[in-house]
Amino acid sequence: MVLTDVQAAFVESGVSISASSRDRNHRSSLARGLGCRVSDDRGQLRLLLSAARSAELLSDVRTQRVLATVYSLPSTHETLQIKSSETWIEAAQPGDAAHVAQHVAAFSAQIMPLGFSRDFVSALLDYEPGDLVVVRFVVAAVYTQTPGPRAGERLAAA
Amino acid sequence: MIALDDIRACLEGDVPSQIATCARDGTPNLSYASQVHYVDSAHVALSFQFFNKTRENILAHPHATAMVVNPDTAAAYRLDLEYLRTESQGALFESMKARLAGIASHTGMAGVFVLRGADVYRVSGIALMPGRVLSNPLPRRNLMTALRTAGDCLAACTDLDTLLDAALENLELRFGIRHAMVLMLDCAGQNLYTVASRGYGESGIGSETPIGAGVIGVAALHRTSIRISHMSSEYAYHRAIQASARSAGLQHGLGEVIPFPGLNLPHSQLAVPIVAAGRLQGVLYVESPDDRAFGYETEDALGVLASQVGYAMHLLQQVQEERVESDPHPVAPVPAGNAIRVRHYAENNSVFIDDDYLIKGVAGAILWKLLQDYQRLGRTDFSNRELRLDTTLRLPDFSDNLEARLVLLTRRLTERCNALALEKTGRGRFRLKVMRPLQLEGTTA
Repeated sequence: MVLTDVQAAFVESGVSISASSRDRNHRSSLARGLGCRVSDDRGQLRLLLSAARSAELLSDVRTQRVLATVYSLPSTHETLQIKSSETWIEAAQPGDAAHVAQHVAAFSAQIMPLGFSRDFVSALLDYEPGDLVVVRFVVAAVYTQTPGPRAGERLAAA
Repeated sequence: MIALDDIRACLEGDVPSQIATCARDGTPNLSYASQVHYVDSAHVALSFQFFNKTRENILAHPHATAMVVNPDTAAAYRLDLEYLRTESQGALFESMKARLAGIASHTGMAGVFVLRGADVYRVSGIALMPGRVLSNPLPRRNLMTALRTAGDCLAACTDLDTLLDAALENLELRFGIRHAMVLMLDCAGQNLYTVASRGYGESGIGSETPIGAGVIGVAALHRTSIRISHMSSEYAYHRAIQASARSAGLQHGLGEVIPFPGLNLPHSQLAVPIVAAGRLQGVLYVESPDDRAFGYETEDALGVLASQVGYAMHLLQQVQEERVESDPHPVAPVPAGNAIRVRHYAENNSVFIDDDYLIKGVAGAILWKLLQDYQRLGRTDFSNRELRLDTTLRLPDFSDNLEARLVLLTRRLTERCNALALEKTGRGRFRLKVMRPLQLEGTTA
């Protein structure tokens, strides 16, 4: 399936991004995303992560291939979850670091009005430039997770 | 292993926490938890607000992983959780419900975040996740030192009146808490009445809060601390009490409502039950116009302080009252000046001075008895003991705290009536001072 234009723009905006996978015993792993880039056909996403901070998740993705990612806009609580079972771990490409910088700035603009300092945001999304890694994945299912009665509802393909 | 007690700052709900679970077929699921609530050093509770995939997953496979973040240092922790049960009533539920109301209102989600249950999990592991961590800000004050100093002051008090004032004064001087009050339980009325306050324009002494209403009433009902870190209109006091007063039809056409002294829109509220010898005595309530003014540590410290206040109250009640050696009841001289009219309504023991409401309930009955004895017998000296034994007063049982009623009455007279006063003359003894002639009017129901 592919994302709608609106969904694609949303996951690339100043959202809070987190990701989860699990090991073969179904023990979950978690990591915070540094940005997300949508493919031109909107059927694949590239999740940008700090390799050092996401070691467990990367190990689970490498062996189990399953992934759940959540994108939430702090100012509105609008939230999407995107799941996949076709995943690949790849090296960062030119332009990824710039995208991360852009994402950190957009996310800061979201949460600084809530009382968090720039230092806090930069520590929360801290990474070493050489440490950037990508999980590329095929969009398998999209759910709305905005708090409210429709939370958890699966969304139809674009 | 890192202790849960050491990372409670992550459990204030300032940074949203993530919960990862796994479906039976191995599909991972990730969701936000508005609240990961500290239950004790081995358990947390997650707010269950909507039926969703997380819930379906934990019911099928009770293992979850949470990521929680310290709002000051950005340190992220991974919690390994094992789902145990869901509570949909009681102390934990109410405490989370109040906290959630604050979080919801702070994040613009009032009316959307509604607590259906408190999902209790055992914490089987805690790990610091890799990443840069900022240095922890220095604590504003050493709470152990504050507690010890305040405790020394409380231990030196010899009567309830000074104990209450010492408690509130120490909250300001040692803890920097400028708005505080003590409410006592009225066993008969299912209410709490304010007996001491500090930091308000009007003291509100004698104002009533129904058990179960707002953070104070809920803390009393469930005997648990209730703490809210952000402004919540749902728990804003004036509103809660007005609504409750309306629904209870308290007015009786007498308009005898003393306004609650609290801040109009507190951003932080903490109500701690005062319990001693297994009985609820009252509630210590503090509030602040600032967000996040009271954390888990302050809640702990005030819990200890409230305990100490409770035991001191209990002990001071037990102290043997002085026997009245000779009791000639000397007849008091009749004062000069214009008479004040004192009306008493037997229906609820409310007392009005001229046309102004003074007090009701047990304290009202006591005042009426004193004034009648004064008028008929010219008596001015009384003892707590005789009040306890006076069958016409029909005092609630001993635990109702007669001493607190007398403190309440004394303070209301000081604030509202310059013609009458109660003055302590010894342990368990006091004198009625009447500065103007009295005109007593009793009204039976």
